[in-house]
Amino acid sequence: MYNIELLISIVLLLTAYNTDSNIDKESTSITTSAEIAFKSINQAQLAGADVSDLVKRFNTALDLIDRSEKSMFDSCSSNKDCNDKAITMFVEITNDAHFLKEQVKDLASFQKLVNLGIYTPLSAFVTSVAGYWSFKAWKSHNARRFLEMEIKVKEK
Amino acid sequence: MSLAKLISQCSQVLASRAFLLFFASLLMISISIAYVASEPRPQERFLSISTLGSKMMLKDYYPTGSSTIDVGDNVNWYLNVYNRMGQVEYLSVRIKLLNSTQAAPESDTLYQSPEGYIFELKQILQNNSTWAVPLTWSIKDVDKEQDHIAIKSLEINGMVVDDLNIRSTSGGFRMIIELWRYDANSGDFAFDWDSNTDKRNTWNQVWFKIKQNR
Repeated sequence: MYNIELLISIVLLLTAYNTDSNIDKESTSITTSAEIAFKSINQAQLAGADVSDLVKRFNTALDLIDRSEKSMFDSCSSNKDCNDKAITMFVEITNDAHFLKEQVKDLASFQKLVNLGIYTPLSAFVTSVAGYWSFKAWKSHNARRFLEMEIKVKEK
Repeated sequence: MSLAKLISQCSQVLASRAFLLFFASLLMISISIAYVASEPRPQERFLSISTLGSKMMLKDYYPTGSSTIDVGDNVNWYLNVYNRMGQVEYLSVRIKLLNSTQAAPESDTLYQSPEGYIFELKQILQNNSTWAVPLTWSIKDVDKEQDHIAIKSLEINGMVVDDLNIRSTSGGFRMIIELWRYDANSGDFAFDWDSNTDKRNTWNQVWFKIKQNR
């Protein structure tokens, strides 16, 4: 799934670089690469990754597109330059999001396994020993107290 | 208590049937609780948008304090968008300029206003995060006739929007602010979302009038 998305992103990037005048095509490339990047971020986040850096970069790319539409060329030199930079950023975000997702997925599964397989049984064992031992101690204390009792006849 | 006695007592405890039964029960309960706690809990999903005045409060929406504004007056608002959808959302704020008779969005039927938007802002927003957008706009050109006023041009956040012809006979206009979210299934932005119980949408409108006499 990811490889197909990455391939589409790269093709879009190349298309954007190779067509000079076709604005519609470039616009489609931007939209598609943005959508792929967004989906990748979402998948990474659902896997449990911290995607704050990716979100920041995505919004920077959106800002580039916005500046291109408004012809505000301070962080890029021309309309095409702004859009190319944005598409490159979207492709990089897609790539990084996938890498992050795989990294976190393994870590999350391992963490869950450790929690369920080691920490939980260990805590249950320690609690059981402490609880049972306390119960036994309380029981023997009560028994000892009972045995040490003296029978007294109540005087009327 | 000597170490030997302690070890002997521990062995006795561990070997006893009552202890094993107690431990097995506690282990099962603990694993169940740990598993349930590790699963994400369902929560009510929602998006919200609020339009605030120049001081980020529910007042001071107009430069002179009155809802009647003049050509060239700078109106400063803040849009606060909040995401509680449980995931990252790709959002679009669409601003529409309507007169008093044009159809506004509907919360019951989930219809968006059929009019086209004059300005759009896009951003992706993490779960449980707020996006505050400053919005500065002013009327650039109007056509004042005896029976109506028409807004011809507007500037929003430094972008001039020409070719407008929003007419109002009463002089009343409104800014409609719609919140759209990207729907991965349809591959497009949608005006509603699933809140786990039903479908909802969110939008704001702020009314204003244009000064009749210059």
